[in-house]
Amino acid sequence: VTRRLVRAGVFLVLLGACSPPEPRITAREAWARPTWGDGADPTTPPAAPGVVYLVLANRGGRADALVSATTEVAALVEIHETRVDGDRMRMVHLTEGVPIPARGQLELRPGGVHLMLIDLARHLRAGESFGLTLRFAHSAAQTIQVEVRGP
Amino acid sequence: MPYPEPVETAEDFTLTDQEGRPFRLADHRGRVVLLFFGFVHCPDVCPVTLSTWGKVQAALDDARDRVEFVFVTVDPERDTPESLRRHLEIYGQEFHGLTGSQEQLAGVYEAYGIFQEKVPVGSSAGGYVVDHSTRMLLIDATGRLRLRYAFDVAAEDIVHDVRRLLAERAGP
Repeated sequence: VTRRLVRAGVFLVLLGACSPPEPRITAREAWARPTWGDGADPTTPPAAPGVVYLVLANRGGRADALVSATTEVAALVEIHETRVDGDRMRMVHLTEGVPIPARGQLELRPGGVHLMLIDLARHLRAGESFGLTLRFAHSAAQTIQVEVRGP
Repeated sequence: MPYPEPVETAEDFTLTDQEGRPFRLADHRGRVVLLFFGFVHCPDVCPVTLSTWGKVQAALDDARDRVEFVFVTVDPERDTPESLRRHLEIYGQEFHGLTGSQEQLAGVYEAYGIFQEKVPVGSSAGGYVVDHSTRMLLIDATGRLRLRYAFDVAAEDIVHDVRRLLAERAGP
């Protein structure tokens, strides 16, 4: 019995040493709305900001947070949340980032948390894609491809 | 009774559409009107509604000339007829995009109980979004307000209600 307990203890110590809880973030379903319809003049600069939605899954045992993002197609990316209070829609700038729970996920979907692309360098057309670099509180930065689709 | 008795007449207004032509609501009596307030620089919520309208219009293709989709700006500073036209082209549909002077629009917001407030965003000076009421209104062919929807209402629900109002009008 003692030997079994010791063996179990050694196993637990090893387990702890080998796998400290770390976040493991994977991004999927990244898409953006088009900013321009067919047949319009592409030389006119985009008037409206762009928007990106995606899902960030965390398979690790430690929570993380999405803190910022950058892309070559926009001067600035901000994390915003739409809050609908009855009939009133409010946009809240999430300057502290957004948590991604351990063994959970963060969903950026229409009507909720989204990435706002400010001062677009060019129009986003359905069928195109562009790179977006995501920065996290703990995990290394990741560059993902965002598909433009819609409307 | 499929719906409660109508309680309110939709207040008439005249604004300017995306082609620069006057648009008077009362000229569209005899048609069912969907009315929504938003703005071109709205990244998240307004596109949801416009995208839903695209589906509704496609589903009501057989009644195309009996249903009007009216988008009124809450951002007249930036939403010119030209920018409204370009924006609505993204959705490739026949929606009316309306703007006007601050005074004209203030009267419309008041009549329909629309809240709107500028909120700064971004690093660039002068960047802002407009927090606003997200309600979508359904006006029947006699010009009465019949229903109010949340911004994320399903297209099928709107199609169902519009068809009912169209049938009412065609009824005995």
